[in-house]
Amino acid sequence: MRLLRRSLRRDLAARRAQVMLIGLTMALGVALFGASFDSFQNLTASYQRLYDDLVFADLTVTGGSSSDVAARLAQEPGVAALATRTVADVPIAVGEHHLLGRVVGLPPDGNATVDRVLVLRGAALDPARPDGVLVEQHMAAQFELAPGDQISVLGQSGWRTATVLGVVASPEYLWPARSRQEVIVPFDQFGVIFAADSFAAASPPRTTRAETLVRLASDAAPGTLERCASAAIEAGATSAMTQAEQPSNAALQEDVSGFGELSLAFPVMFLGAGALAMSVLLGRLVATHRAQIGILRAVGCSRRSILGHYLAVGVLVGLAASLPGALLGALAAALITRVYTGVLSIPIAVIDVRFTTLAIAIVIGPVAGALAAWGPARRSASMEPGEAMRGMAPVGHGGISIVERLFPALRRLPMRWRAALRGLFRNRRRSLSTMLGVALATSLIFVSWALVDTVQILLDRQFVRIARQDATVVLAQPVPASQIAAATAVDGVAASEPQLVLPVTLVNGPRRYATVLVGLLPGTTMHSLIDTGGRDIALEEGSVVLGVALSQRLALSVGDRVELDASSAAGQIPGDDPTIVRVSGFVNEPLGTYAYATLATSVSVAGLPPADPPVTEALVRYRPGADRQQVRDDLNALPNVAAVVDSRALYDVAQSFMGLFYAFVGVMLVLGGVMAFALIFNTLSANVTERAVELTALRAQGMSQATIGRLVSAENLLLAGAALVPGLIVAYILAYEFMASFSSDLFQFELSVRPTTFIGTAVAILVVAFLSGWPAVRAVGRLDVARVVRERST
Amino acid sequence: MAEGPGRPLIRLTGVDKSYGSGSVAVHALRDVSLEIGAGEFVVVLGPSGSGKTTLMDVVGGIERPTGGTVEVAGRQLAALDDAGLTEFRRQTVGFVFQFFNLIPTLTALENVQLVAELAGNADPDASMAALSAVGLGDRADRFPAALSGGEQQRVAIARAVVKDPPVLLCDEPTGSLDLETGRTVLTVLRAVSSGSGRVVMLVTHNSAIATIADRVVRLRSGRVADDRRVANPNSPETVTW
Repeated sequence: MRLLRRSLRRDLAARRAQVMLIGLTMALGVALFGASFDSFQNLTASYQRLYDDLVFADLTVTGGSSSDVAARLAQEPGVAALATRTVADVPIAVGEHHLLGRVVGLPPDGNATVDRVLVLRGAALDPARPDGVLVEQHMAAQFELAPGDQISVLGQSGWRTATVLGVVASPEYLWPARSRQEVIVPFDQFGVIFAADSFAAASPPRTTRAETLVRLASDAAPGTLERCASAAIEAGATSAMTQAEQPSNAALQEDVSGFGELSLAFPVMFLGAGALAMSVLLGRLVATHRAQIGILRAVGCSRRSILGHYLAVGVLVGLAASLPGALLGALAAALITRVYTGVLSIPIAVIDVRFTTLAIAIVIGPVAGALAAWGPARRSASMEPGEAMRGMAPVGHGGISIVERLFPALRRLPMRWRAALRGLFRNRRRSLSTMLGVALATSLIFVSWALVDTVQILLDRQFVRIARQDATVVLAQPVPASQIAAATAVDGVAASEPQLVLPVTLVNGPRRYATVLVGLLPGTTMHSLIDTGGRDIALEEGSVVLGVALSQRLALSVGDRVELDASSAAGQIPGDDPTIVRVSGFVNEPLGTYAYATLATSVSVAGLPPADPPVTEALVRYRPGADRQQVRDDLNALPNVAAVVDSRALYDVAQSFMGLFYAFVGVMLVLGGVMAFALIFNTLSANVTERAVELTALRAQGMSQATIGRLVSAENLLLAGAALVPGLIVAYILAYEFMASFSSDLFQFELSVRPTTFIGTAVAILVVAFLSGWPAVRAVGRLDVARVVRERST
Repeated sequence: MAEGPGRPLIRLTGVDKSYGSGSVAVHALRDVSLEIGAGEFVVVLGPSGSGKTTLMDVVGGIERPTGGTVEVAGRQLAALDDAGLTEFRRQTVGFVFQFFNLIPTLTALENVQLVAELAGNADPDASMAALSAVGLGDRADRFPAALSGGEQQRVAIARAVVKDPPVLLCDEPTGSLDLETGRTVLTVLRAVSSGSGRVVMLVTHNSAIATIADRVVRLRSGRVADDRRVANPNSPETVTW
């Protein structure tokens, strides 16, 4: 065995480039596992600690009489804490800049029992300072607000001046989403402040809503949450939102769950690729050692010893990859957690070294190595000594390839190309291994690329095809629809349309969903309603069009009737009794899940006078070539304008948030390339080594090195090409499932892939295949023809 | 030096070939001069390490000599660059090796055709004719794995002669064959030599094979120890070892 070990050591040293690539691929798999799994754990722990410290509500109940609702909920077992508050959506002015604001009520001393705030700078609320407010950290950063600064908040009798006492973080606004429909809002167009409840209650009529916050005991029985939600509705509330549904938390959880999914996908892909490459390498070594194995078996070495020897190689290479991989993974997890929490301004970052993760990371490398080595090790152990001592076994028997049988025209190809074609079927196991690896790499590249495509296409659909206005102007006070043009008359505005936005709860039997009803002109040119088939939907009087996520969530189909309850409207114009309308269609919109109706239908739901009803928003389109910033500033300066939400700014914000995502995808693309390179390089090196004699014999017969290079490259490209089709199909399915796993009423991530992505992926794989084969081609050129042709061919 | 029957097709003058340098230098050929005429069947005989395979490689343009000149079919090999040597081997020389080195995924006929195409002759009839000439016309569609060792070597001979090279170089072509199969291969080699004007240079350590040659060159320690013509070569069928 010492002989075999020494020989193996030398063989591995001679193939150190291959061994190192295998090790690198496996180490990457281990590191990515550690990095993504511990990032997932760290971020989950960070959020959880913050939520616990700040007593984040398990249930946020809206509507009804909060004292009645709280009294009813207090009777429920498992409720640990209850709080009531007033929340007002009112315009805020920072200097001359107006934005959509939200005032969240707190006890006079700021010390809430549920949904507390963490003071980052300055002081808490002070009962002696009734005009004092706390500013949420994102808004403070956007406007560089500090304790002592002053802002204006619209009150019942006009603008009120408020003094900033402190800057705070809130579990409800770690990601400052305005609602589940408006998860992405530019920081300069939406801001949250916290004030004494009396301050919030002194907001203009119909801008406030009553909320009851529920925190459950840690040992609450299963089903408590659902019972509380039902009890709240019975007590008069209109909606009850769980912590999981809370917009900020839901958006962050979507992100964090991505790490959780990747912690499984990454090791499977990379360790699988490394294992495939190792299997190929060991298979080749076992073939090279055939005579030595024969001698060892002849002198009494047991099959088990031979088997254990090659298995040990797999385990050792896996272990050598695991140790640095696990360490790297732990370091990367700490870095990712720190960067992620820093970028999102999460005030608590839990960074732990988890020994369970380290242990798993260290074990998965050797396990993958052992699995990879199992096949070659078994073949080595099953060799009969007499046969093995005679030297190299023939690699395979010839035969007409299946593609030549299917396409007889291929049999007219020049012989050298036919040889390349048949090379694919020469060692089927190895070819299949390579194809599997190429398919894996194809998946990694395609899925990454498809994610970028999907996000870009969906953003374009949302901000170009669907929302066709340049800006949405939110008015401080409603104006009659007929006066909307006058209300937005500034130089640079080419057209404007009234829009009525009405918070409603959609009810279908026991199923409820809080959203907003958007009232549009029947022939609106500002907003396209597009169904799942890409067709335009026209608004009909007396009916609503709903976001497609509601089809499943509320169990509704086209033609069904749904109840619209605007009685607890948190917005500007609450209605009276619920209205029942027909569902006339479902729209496929990437961001948010809204209900749409004609202006007249919305007015009816709101209980407003049908003739020239007051509206609160205007959709405006700029004149071509207008200075967008100037128009926006001019609109913002109009006396009755609360905020101007520029569609381009929204698009830009969405794009800027994709920066991290694009960087991540870029890394994935590089890793996919490395993986493909490692696999193809290893396989091709094994192929060329195996065929060195016959290729060199052709050199002796006068075949040029360039021709041999083309043949080897062609075979390589054919192999990669053959793996591309199944690879792309699998990749498409993976990408579809991956996107579907992120789809909810917050985002509709419908996979959208540009045709160029298919082509680009294929080209990338073929280029990598070509490049990875190049060292092997060069190695053939460097072979000593005189020496090699005297050797026995394999 | 024996004189050849025709004009010299191969002319070596003072050829040296050494590997390595200084104290570890190995001199494979020392001051070898030879002239081989068209149509000669020459056996180069010598023990292991005598330089016979190196001589064949130098004549075939696989190796460059470290001294002296080599002229084959009117071409000075020293004047050829790598591409020129490749072209030279493609058009002028056919090789037969001890181990047949056939491509296992191509049939017998396809193995022959591959080299024919290389030399610019894509006509399958020519390949079939070469295969028939070595007695394997009925094995044309068989893959190497389905052929015996002798049959594989005959395919290798057909592959070497299909481009009709003026020089055929054979390195221990019977080295891995049994007596009966070896005789068959030698018969084929004599057949492809006779009347074609082609030089066949067969390198072997087996002195029995020398009896079928027109001329025998003995090498010892890289030098030509003996070079003589054989008055009445034996028939390959009578050779025994």
